[in-house]
Amino acid sequence: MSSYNRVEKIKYAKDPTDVVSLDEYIVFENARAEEKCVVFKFSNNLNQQLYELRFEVLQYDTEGDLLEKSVAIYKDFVAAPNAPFVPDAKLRINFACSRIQVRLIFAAFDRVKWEDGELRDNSYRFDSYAEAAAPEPAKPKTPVAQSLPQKKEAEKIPKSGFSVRHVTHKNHAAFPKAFDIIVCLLILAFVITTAFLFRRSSEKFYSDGFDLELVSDDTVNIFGYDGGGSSVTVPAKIGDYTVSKISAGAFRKSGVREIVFETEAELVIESGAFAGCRFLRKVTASEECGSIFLMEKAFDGCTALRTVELPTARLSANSFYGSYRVEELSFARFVSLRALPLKSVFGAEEPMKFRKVNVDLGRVPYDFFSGVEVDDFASRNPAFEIETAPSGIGVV
Amino acid sequence: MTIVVWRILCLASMALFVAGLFALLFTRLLKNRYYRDFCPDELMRETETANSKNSIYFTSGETKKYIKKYALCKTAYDKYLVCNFAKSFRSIRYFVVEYTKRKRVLAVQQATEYSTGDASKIISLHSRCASVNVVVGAVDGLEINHHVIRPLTLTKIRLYAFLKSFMLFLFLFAARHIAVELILGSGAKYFLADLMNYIALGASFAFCLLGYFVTVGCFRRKNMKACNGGSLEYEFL
Repeated sequence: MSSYNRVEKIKYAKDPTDVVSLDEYIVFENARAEEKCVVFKFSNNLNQQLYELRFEVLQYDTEGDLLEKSVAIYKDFVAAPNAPFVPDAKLRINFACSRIQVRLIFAAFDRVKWEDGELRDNSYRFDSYAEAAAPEPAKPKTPVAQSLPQKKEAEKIPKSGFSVRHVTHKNHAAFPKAFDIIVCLLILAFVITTAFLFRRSSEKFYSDGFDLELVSDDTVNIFGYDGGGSSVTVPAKIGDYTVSKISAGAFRKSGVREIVFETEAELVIESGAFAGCRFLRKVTASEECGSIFLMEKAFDGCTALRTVELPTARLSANSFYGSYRVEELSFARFVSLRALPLKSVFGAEEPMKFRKVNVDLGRVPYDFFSGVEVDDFASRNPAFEIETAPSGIGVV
Repeated sequence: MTIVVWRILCLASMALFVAGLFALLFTRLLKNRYYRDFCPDELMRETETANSKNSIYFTSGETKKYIKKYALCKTAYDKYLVCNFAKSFRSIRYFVVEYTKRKRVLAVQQATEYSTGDASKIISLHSRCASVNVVVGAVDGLEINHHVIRPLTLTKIRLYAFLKSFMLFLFLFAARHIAVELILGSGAKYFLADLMNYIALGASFAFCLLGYFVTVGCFRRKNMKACNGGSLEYEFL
C-alpha cells in the first residue's frame, strides 16, 4: 500500500432495484509507476447468497472518451445475503482513466441467476438428460505418463485437507546484518593494515615529551612538545639522536615558562617555533652550547619573555617579534653577516629599555642602539666598535 | 586535533554506542505489532480429569459468526486446540494467536481447512501457551482478516535503520581509535593526523550511510505485500 501516493474513495449511485449494486470504489494511484487500480465494494441486494459475478467496466478519460472496456469475472466466493462484500482482487485500469462506469452482466445466486436484466430460476432444474446426451466416444488409451500431469494439477487444488503453519516471524533482515559485518571487517582491516604500514614507514616518533622527526640516521627535528612541564630542557641528544632543528609550531602556544638549550651541535629554531608562548619568561643556554640560529619570528609574541641568555645564538631580524618586555639579552651575533640595529630584532616601533645586553659582536652599525636604552652593555669581542654615521656621529 | 580530543571523541562514541544499544533493546522497534490486542474469551465450561484439563471458550468478535467455540486441552506434556465451526465450510482459514500467562504473544499459527465438518482438526499449541485467541481469516473465499500481524511502518524501519547505522559508525570510530592506539602506541597521534585516518573515517561514514539505505530497502522489500494483497487492508467505512 505504501507505493500508492493517491487513494481516492468514490461513492457510486446506487439503484435499489439492482440485484447486485456497486456501493463505492477506491482508486489506488501510483503516479511514479503510472499505475492505477480499483477496488470495488458491491452489495448483494437479494436475500440469497451470491456465488458468481460478471460485470463490465467502461473506462473514460477526462474528456469523456471511452478508453477501455473490460469484463471482470469474479467467482468461487460466497457473499452473504443483503450484505456488502468486497472482491479480494484489484482491477488494474488505464492510468489516463478519470471515470469508470460499471454495468452488471451476470450474477449467480443460490437459487436464481440474473442475466441481462432477467432473473432465471436456478434450482430444481436439470440442464440436460441422459437420453439427450450423445453417447460418449470410447476413450483412447493414453499412456500413464501423459495422464500424470493432469492428476498433478488436480492435486494442486485441495478439495479437502488441513494445514497448519506458524506465521510468526521475527522482523530481521539477513542481508543488512551481513553487510554490516562485512563493512566492520573491511574498515578494521583497512585501519589495522594502514597502521602497521604507517609504523614501518613513518619517520615520526615520540620520546620524552617531544614529537620527533627523523632527518638522517642520527639527527632529529623537534616538531612538537606535549611534556606538560613548565620548564623544558632541549637536550643535546634524545636517545641516540642529535637535535638539529626545532620546526615551526613545535612549541606554538604551549604553556612553558622556561626553556633551556643544552645542544652541542648547531641548532636551528625555525620561524614560529615558539610563537604565542604567552607564559614564557626565560630562554637560556650555556656558553658551551653549539650555535643556535634563530629564524625570523622564532619567538613571536612571547609577551612575558624577560630574559634571553643565548650567548651562542645568532639572531635574525624580528627573531623576538612582539616580545617587547625583554630586559636582559645575551647573544653572539646575527645570522646575516652584517649586524642589524638591536631594535629590529624585536620589530618594536616604540623605544625599548634593556637592563643588560651582552653580545659577541665586533663592528656594529651606527644605529645599533637607536630607539633602545641599555643600562649595562658589554661585548665579549674586544674589537667591538660602532660604525660612524653618515653625519660623522655614532649614535649611542 | 590533538590526541586528547581524539580520545575524548572515542570515549564519547563508546558511551553513545552503549546508549544506542540500550535504546535499540528497550524501544524494540522491530517487535511485531498486532491488529488486535488480547481479548479474554468467555469461558463456557471447564472440566478437569486425572491427567488433563479441558476448557471450552466462546469466541469473540467477528470470528463468532464462523467459529462458535474452541476447546483448549492441557495435559502434562501437551496442549491442543480444537475449534467448533458454526457450520461446515468449503474452506476456512483462521489464525490461532497463542499467549503466555502474561498475555504476551507466543506464536501465531495459521490453519486452513477444506470441506470442514463441525469441528476442526487438532491443533498443537506451544507448551508455554496459557490462552489463545482465534481470529477468522477467510471463509469460503471471503477474505475477512488478511493477517493478524501488522507490517512494520516505514517510520519505524527508518528509525531502526538510522539508529543501527549511527551505532555502526560509532562502533567503527571507537574500534578504529583503539586499534590505532594499540598498534602504534605513542605514535598513534601521528597516524590520527594522517590522511589514511581521515580516509578510514570517511569510508566508515559512507558505508554506514549505504548501510542505512540497504537496511531500509531490505526491510521494505520484506515487508511489502503482494501487489494485489494490499487493498485488503483498506477498511470501507
